[in-house]
Amino acid sequence: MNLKLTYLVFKNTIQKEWRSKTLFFLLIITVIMISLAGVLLSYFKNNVLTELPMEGLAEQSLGVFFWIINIWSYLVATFIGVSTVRSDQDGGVMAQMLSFPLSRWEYLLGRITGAYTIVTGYYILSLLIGIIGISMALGDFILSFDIIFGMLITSISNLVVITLALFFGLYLGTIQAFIVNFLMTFFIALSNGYFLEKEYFETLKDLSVMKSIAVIFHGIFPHISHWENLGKSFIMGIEFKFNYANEVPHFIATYTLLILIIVWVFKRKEV
Amino acid sequence: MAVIEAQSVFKNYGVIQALKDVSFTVEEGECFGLLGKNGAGKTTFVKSLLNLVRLKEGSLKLLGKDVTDKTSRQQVAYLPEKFSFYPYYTLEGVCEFYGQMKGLAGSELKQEVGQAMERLGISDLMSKKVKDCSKGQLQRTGLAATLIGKNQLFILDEPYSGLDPIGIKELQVLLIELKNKGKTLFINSHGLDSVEKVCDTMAIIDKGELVVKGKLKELIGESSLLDFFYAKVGNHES
Repeated sequence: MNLKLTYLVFKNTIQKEWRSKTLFFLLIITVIMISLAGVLLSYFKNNVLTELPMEGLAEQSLGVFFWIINIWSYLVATFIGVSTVRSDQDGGVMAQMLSFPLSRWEYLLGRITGAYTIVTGYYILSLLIGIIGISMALGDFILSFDIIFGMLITSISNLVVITLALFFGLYLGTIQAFIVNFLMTFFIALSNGYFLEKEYFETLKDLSVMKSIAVIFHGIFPHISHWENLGKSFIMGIEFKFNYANEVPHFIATYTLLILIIVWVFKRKEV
Repeated sequence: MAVIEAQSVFKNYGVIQALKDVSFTVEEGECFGLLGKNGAGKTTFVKSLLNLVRLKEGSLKLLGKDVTDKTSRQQVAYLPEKFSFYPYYTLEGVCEFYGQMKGLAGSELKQEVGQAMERLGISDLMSKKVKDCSKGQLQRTGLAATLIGKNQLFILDEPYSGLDPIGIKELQVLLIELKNKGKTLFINSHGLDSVEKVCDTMAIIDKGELVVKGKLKELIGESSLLDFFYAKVGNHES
């Protein structure tokens, strides 16, 4: 594997995507929403909730921020995942990139890791702005190691969203890829939610058509919803039952399978 | 030594046969022109050389290696039919990226980028962005990028596209210069006049099939390349 060229593609992905007007727009919107939420929080704390107990307010506020930021991060992950390959195809750059002594796997690796870095950077920046906002509104600095760890855990689901979006971006137009990726991740998250509390053998009982489809989605794709909930539990300091012994190997196996399928299909793509 | 070896190459796009049993070799130091009408299969052949499309049958080798081996492209420079790059890159940035992908770094990279841009007459446009460039300036940038690195084979798909008459003349001189340095040139072009001036061997492809291949002067004799080309693949019914 040519790590030097892969690194150059990675660097090029960051250089081309951070200039994205959409990304900048989403960041501005995020900052505005977080700032507004912070002002509202400060107002309620000082004027409305003065008689009420303050316990848990920071966690609840953080929950709201987490929800806002996760939605935006999901949109950013999808957008960057699709656009990072779509712009190469539309601009005719992909053929030039692949005319270098670069394998298609190396090209994809550079693009995925570059997109992941951008999205994670955006995610962490947004969450830090949120945390600073809450800290200022409540007069208590709430950043902790658990929150940082939670951010990194949550970014795992962003990695899966980026990878799927990139795959759809290779074969579909921007809007179609966006819609298909939304539907795909929605079904994965839905099936994850349905089977959240169930053991694996339980999922195979009383299979209907819909349940069979859900089992397939739950079985062959990484559990994005579980990882997101785990990250949330660290950030918000809440309990979440997470079976590491099952989930870590499942993620490694399914994500590897996903990558292998994408590389196999992409190797057959005519540029 | 054969730099390009094509043996019974077949390529289909669905039911359309883009390449049918195409076989020829291009020797080291040759300047080879691939000619054909629009849709004849020239660009498909160029893309096959770079493993951008998959062959149905046959074998293609670049510098002795199968085209599916990425190292076959180690010393290959490619200019696509419509050269473009990310719009916010400066022309210097484009050339630097190409140089980096060719393994250059530091002062060697700076020097080669400077020389290539100087050679193509765009050294005063270094900080100009791709989005602000004319087609001709972009084409010159693409050509400059191909000069960076230790390339042995130059695959040029319509290199004269977008160039003004001065640019065409300068490119002819550049290609002859590269040929005299022992580089192998594979040119896919409609610019018959330029091909005639620069190339020593050529092939004509029509509807995916190789019609003729050989030494240019021997093939055309006293006639012009345009007349020869028309005689071979022209629409004689009309």
